[in-house]
Amino acid sequence: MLLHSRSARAAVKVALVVVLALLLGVPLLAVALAAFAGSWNGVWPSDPTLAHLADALSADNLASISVSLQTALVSSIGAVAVGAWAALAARSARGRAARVIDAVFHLPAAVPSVVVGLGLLTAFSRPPLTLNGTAAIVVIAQTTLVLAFAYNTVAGAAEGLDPVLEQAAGSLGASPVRVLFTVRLPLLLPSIGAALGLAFALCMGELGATIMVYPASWRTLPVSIFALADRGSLFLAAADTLVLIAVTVAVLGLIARLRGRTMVR
Amino acid sequence: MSHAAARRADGAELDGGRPAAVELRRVSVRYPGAPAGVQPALADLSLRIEAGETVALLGPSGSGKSTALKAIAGFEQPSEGTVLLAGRDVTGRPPAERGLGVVVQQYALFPHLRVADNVAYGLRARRLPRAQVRARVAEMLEMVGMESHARKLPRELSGGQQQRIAIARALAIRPDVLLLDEPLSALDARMRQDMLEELVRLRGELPDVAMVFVTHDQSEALALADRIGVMRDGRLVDLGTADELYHHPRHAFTASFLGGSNLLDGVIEPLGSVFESGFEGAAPVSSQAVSSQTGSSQTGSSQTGPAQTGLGRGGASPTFRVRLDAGGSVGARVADPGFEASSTGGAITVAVRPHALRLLPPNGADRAVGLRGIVQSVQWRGAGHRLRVALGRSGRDAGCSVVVDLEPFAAVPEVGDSITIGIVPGEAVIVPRDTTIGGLRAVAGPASAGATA
Repeated sequence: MLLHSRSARAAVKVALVVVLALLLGVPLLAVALAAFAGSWNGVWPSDPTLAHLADALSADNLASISVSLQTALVSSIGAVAVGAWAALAARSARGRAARVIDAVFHLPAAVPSVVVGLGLLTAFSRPPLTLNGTAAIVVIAQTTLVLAFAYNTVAGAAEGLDPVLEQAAGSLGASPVRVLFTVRLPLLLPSIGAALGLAFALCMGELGATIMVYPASWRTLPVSIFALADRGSLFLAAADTLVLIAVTVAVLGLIARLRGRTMVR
Repeated sequence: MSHAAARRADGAELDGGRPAAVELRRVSVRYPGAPAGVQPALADLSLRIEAGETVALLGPSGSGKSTALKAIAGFEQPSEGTVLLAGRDVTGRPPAERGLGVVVQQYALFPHLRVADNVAYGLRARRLPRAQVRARVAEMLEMVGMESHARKLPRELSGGQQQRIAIARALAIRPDVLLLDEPLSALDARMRQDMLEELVRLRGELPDVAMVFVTHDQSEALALADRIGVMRDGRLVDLGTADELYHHPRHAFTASFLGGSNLLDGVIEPLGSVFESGFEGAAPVSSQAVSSQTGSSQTGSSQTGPAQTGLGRGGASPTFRVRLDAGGSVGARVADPGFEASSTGGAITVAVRPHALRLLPPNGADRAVGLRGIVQSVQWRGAGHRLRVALGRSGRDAGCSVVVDLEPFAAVPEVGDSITIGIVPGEAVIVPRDTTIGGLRAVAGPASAGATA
């Protein structure tokens, strides 16, 4: 404790609550209120209605939710698979090779999402590999963007793996594949779960690269929200946002439950 | 414990061409990236370990003993040399193909697997039928007395219990060789004693398994090993039975590390190479304290009374009179039959254990020949007192000090007292002088040259 007096501690706590409320609470509250507002001309919204929410759950929008879920799941699983593999490879490589892997997999975090989108668009818009206009290019964009976070989360845990455990498994006659599936991966499960949750949440909200590459047939929810807000339909956009938050939190809760189960083992 | 195969200190083949359980031929381990001039982690180690034999690799940290174990296990690849298991060349083969039982320092139990699954791990890796795995796991858990803990996770066990499980896991696969890396170092003093007895019992139950264990604790090595390899700076300095190394150390390092000998530099006196009489057998001390003490203590050796003064145990050991640099002279025997005093120009080192030193009476006739010094510190160790004594008349000029363990009930001097020390007859051993001990480690001294077995 840096502060000893009770009043000073209380003051710091109050300040923290105020800052958090301003940064997180107010925008979320505003979105929630707007989603149910018929009109908003004064300080508070008026004419409460469920029409926006009903609209947000209409068939057209449900398709967007489904697209977002599919893209985020495939992208986050892909990113975690590649990231975990790279993290384990970097750990066994050591030395110069390890540093190169580390740098390469950190790079996407440093590159703005717009650049990733533009890069994919220019690279895959003509033969031999034409991905422009397919769902695949959206998945690739999101995978690339969250790869660094997935890699980082697993690499931190892989660094803490005791190599002696793997040596012990090897000395007991286990092949490298067996060691991977019975020792390394089970011990990394908690961090893989964490990486999956983080990657999924980031993918669900990804806009910058997605908006540059998405085809009309594969529109994610954030793209729809952006389009609505751009057209001035703020209440509809707010209703869609609520749905986006609800779906994301539900899936994260599911991942957390699975992680909890692996931790107990 | 002592096995027929163990009696040959040099580890030579005994029973007509049967390959050794473990054989290292001139194995060196150099860590990648280490500069060329740097001492390798393991240098030119040759060693044979027979089936049923227990060999301890003993040395301080950084002496290469763990590296030697890892080279056998396959965790480290030798940069030179050959590793053979039961006559089969396994150099460069991964650990999984060696079929050894390995118990590492911190046990390395799989934290996510229950005790029974830990023990079953090697059996499942060998794809044994489920019923066989279950039976073998139960058998192993019973052997180490851990049947009731089968469903627990490793973190629910104490250090000693984890150790038992690690041993059960290693032995479940019926290895011909069991490797133990500092098996007791992570336990507290009392657990260590219990576990040591457990290991001695286990040793008896596994008559055909070769055991190699690494330790820095001489008492573990003496209690468990048929032969002890003393290691230093990546090299095997000495190899022999516990008795040989303890009573006939061939190197100064062995004498100081195994038994904590004092090392006193001196010169062999040219005249009278065979020693006649000496101060260490001087009347007042020998008749009372020395004769009643000699051979009755930890050494467990045959009685060497004052009458035999000068002729060490083993009978044939030649005995010389040595003039010590710190003053005084002493009769000392040569332990290594190959030792040539003339080759060293007479400059040698005398090794004396702390319990072989006695305080001489202040006004005795033998004061003239004793080692004089000033008491620097007095430490009570329960059974007796331990003194550190600076040699020389003033305690300053010699720059050399010795450790003396007083016998129980002896009068204890105080710090700063000027005293005279005598040596129990037959207890002073001549070893080649090794300037690398205690001073700057510069070049490989005579102790490490050609020390491989």
